[in-house]
Amino acid sequence: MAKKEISRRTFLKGATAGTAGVAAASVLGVSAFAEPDAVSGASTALAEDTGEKIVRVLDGNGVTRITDTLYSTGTWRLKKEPAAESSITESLTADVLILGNGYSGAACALWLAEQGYKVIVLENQSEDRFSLFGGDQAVINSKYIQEHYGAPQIDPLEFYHNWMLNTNNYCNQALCMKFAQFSGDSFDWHLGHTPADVRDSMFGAPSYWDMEKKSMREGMLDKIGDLRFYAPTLRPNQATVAKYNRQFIENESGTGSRHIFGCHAEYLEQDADGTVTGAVAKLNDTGDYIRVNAKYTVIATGGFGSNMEMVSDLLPDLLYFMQDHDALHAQQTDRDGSGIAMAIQAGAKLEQGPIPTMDGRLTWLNGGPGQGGSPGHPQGVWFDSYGKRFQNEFWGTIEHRGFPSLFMNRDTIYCLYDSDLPERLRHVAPAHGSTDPTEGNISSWQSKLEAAYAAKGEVYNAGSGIYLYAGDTVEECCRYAGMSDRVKENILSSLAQYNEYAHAGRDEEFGRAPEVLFPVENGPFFLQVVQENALIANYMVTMGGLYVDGEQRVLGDEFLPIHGLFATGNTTGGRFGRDYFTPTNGVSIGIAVCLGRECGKSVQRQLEGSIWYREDSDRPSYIDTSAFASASGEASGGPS
Amino acid sequence: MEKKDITRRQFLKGSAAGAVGFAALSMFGVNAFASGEPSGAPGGASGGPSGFSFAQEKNENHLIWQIEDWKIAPDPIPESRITAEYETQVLIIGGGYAGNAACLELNEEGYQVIVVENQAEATYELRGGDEGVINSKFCQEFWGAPEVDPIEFYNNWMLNCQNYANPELVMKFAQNGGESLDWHISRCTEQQKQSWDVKFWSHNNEEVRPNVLGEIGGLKFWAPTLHPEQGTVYKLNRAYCEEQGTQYFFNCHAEHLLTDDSGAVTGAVIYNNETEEYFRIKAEYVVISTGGFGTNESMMKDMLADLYAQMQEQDEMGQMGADRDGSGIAMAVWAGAQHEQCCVPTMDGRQPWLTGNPGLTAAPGHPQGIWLDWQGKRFMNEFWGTLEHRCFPMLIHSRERMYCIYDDKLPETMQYVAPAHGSTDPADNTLATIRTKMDEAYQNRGQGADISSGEMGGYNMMVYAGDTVEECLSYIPDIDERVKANIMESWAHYNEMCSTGRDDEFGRDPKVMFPLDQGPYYVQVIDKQAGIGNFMVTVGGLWTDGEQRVLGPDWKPIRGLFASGNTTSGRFGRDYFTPMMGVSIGMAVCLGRECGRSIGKQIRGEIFYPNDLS
Repeated sequence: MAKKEISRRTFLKGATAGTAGVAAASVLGVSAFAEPDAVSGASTALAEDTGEKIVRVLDGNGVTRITDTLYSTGTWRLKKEPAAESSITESLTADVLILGNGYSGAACALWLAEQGYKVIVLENQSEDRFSLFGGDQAVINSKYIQEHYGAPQIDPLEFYHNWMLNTNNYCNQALCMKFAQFSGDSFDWHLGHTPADVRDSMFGAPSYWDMEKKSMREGMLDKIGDLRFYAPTLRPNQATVAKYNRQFIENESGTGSRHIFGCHAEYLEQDADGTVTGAVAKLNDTGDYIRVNAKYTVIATGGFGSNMEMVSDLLPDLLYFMQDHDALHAQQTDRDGSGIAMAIQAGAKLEQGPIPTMDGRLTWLNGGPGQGGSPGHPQGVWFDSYGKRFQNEFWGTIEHRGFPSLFMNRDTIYCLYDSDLPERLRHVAPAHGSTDPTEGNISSWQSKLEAAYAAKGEVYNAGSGIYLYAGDTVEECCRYAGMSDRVKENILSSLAQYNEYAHAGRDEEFGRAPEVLFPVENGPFFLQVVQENALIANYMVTMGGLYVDGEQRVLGDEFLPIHGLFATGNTTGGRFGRDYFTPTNGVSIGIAVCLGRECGKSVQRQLEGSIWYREDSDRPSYIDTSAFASASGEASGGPS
Repeated sequence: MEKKDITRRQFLKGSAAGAVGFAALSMFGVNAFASGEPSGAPGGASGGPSGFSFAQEKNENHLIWQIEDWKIAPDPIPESRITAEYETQVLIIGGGYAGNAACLELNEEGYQVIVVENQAEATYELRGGDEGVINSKFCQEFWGAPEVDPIEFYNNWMLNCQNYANPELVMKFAQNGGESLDWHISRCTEQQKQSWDVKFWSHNNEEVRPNVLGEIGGLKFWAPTLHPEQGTVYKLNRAYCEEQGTQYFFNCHAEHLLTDDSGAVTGAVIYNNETEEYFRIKAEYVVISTGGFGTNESMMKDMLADLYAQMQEQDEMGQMGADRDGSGIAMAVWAGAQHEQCCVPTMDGRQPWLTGNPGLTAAPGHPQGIWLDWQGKRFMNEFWGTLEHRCFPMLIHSRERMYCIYDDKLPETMQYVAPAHGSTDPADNTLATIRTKMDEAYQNRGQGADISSGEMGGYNMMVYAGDTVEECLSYIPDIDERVKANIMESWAHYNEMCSTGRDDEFGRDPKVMFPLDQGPYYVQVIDKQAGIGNFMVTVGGLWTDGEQRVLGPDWKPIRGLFASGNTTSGRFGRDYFTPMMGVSIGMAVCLGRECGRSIGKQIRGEIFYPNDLS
């Protein structure tokens, strides 16, 4: 896929084109922020509703104005035309159809094949170019990691509780507990078909981990404030693991299971009662369709981050928070959301509220993922464009750390460090995007600061978009940075205040945890000027869309399961908080494998009848609806 | 405004009618989202898939309220209709807790203020009364309230909203809340103050009631909360402000803001509800403190779209009709303000009150028992600390039928509650009432006892008592055998976990894992539990900075415009929450005062706007 950045600006322009709403606005004498010819295209708008419409509207006198987001109705939610029967060239059957061969789908397939069920896995990527994103697979209590790397035994209830605190109780408790209880086991199981010699030689040194001491590196934090962190995380060679697992499924399980690559599921098929009976998929090479009938279908097609229509519809808050310099999904690493769309088309509930993304609501002031040198170290002090501290720089969860900067102007942010920075950099949590405090990384920062000091008086480009002004005093740094006197005064007084708090161990302004409340007072000083911090909405993947119950059955009308339909992985909501977060590096893949397997277990329970649907009950309906109708009739007046 | 309930069903129907896009969607049974209720006005039929109607309808001479797109600025009131003009330093729109506190502070600092209030003076009232703060000297000296570390209070707050609040505002509340309460009531006599009630507090012993919980699962709670006689407080403070020269315009509704060429706010146009005339007030600074938008259908549909979508068939939106019309938020948005997008918190709208409806002594779904879903399985931590966030898992769970199991110890275990909004204060008479209800249920064994409350209505709640859980279940008509088996298993498993103090299923705090092992037992059956969407007020809208200056299109403050109270975002989490009762009013008074302080700083040039910089 061609890399393409959409800034909010271009989005504004593109979005207003050809929408009736804007035309109507102009009828009332409000001038829309749209090209004039776009407005005249109103009559044809219906067919080409492209989703998000952001308009700026001026009133008749040009006095008041609004900036706002009007939602798409989401034509992606409309049911697709079925393929012509004549174009369906093959019909297959299986016990379980799995859409998507990513981490979660593959884990689900493996479990079911191990239990003797026939699965068919459809994967959009072609076989020769198939790749899995990422690799870090975070879990707790893997026997393998404990034995080989000295990982500690963690109380799963503590891990779970920390998870719930991070999501504010707004996640699917049953799924999060399954991850807490079974993740280690799922890690070991996932490696079970990889020969021991291959397995033992495929891991690099785990990050954040001191192999000699069998603990986190010196100075690292397992707790910041009330939030906890865990290490180590291992990075299996996921392609190798996948190869052996697939070999088992296809060749050794004796179930007749198979994978079909280069095959994109288009829509679900349902019987007259709405039960999902399989799916129709398109072969990317030939354009032919195939039909797979199955007792149960599992959607594991990943996020919707590269489907701009869905993004417009489902991430309105994120678009709204973008400032002019932000770029939407610049990384282009996500999937097309088709699995979520087909479930919605089959009657599934759509997740509401902020749908979490991987790092989309994070300004990465503390360091961009994958960048060795990262701007805005939380070990320093941060000031806004007025020169005032504006947040707890060291809120525990990295991905939620930047929330306060969502609702403030980010044209200029100042970060101040002193010469203790390299040593302070040892104090990080083992989370996604922290800089691993290896001796190499520490000394690299030492050299950068020295070089910056050598260039005193000039701005020093430390790489990765980091610009530093060094000086013997803070005042000197500010002078070189060329800020106005009022801002400088604010920085000096904010800093003095901060240092008082640091010495008292009490941050009276923003509650920064005492263990990371480092004074910034040992010159020389280094002032980083972050201009137009531009990373809001630059997410890797989206991490929600469908609601599932504790068995990962997709929920439909009135939040009851849709018969025959399961979902797992990044198609499902209820796993993260307002955004993704990492109490340990790599929980995304850790949870995908664990819950993919748990989904397999649930499908098995459904196949074996130990869980059931409400309509299977020996009583057709629980509710005496006539009694209910009269009760609600009485109540409709409400309290007086 | 005429009171009108909206059920989700009606909402969906309304949305689909007349708009081509929605008609298409509804054919496929897809739930609508952030949709419009078409008015059939020009553009309605071909109004595009989003169903927006841009017709303006006048409602009792107020601008727009019936149109869908509340964000579109209306035409200004024509000059010819404006009959008078006033000038002041500070105009405060909305004389509720926040606006009045700002007014009082500004008066004490010697600034000139006008307050515009929509209610008529004769019928003026303030909602609620509990004013929750920490470190009030009065509460400490008279009631023996504890000294609380404001940083601990603040960090607990940030944990509850996961760092998604405006940290400066929250810290101001943590640091200055107690002082602001003492200040707020400073014109009352000692006798008056001492006659006021406190909740969750043992009045004789000057301490929190025994067994009331200061912490549940890492989340903290504080007591006591003072309930001042707010009418008296108001009268005394207003008398002071009037002496200082503050003018109050009652029965007057602000229609839109005035702005100059640079976009700075310079005043507002006001409508006199009684004389039906418009007038203009020019001001150096305007404070919007008009409360929430919970009686404005158009704004609710737009800003509470998530809540609508999560409502189940039996739920009703905004049923209490207790909130304001959102006009302050709307007029700020017309002037370029940023407003909270998606998931605006409400007071209890995302909480089905299974833990107990506020004001009802016999509350359904006590967290001291266990709760089971339609399958007869436990599905959540019944005792998550923050009461308002406790039931989030129910938002995404069928509430068609639920079972709650208690044992005979309920009146004892009910003493274990956090002193939060909606907890049942475990006063002796309350516990006695519960005992009586349980005894009645036991005596009516076999039929089940109907404990549906007339006030609640809408759903069916029965309690079936029996000497064993199995016996209770045997009395429930039409229960599936597999559900029964699940209930028995869930109950037994829960008791097993109690013996080890480890809830391996849902992580309930060990100190509130009360075993259910002492008969008789009580199984409560709740069909079609309703309550999602039934909020008191909305508690979000405009984004402000730490000085409560309203942020504009570039997320920089709009010159001249401040906001405080329930018109503002950045104070709560995914929904309102109460680490102590009454933080809504406690915070409104405190931050209202802080808003006054910030305006004072702005007037004196101690804070500045970005374009003041050289």
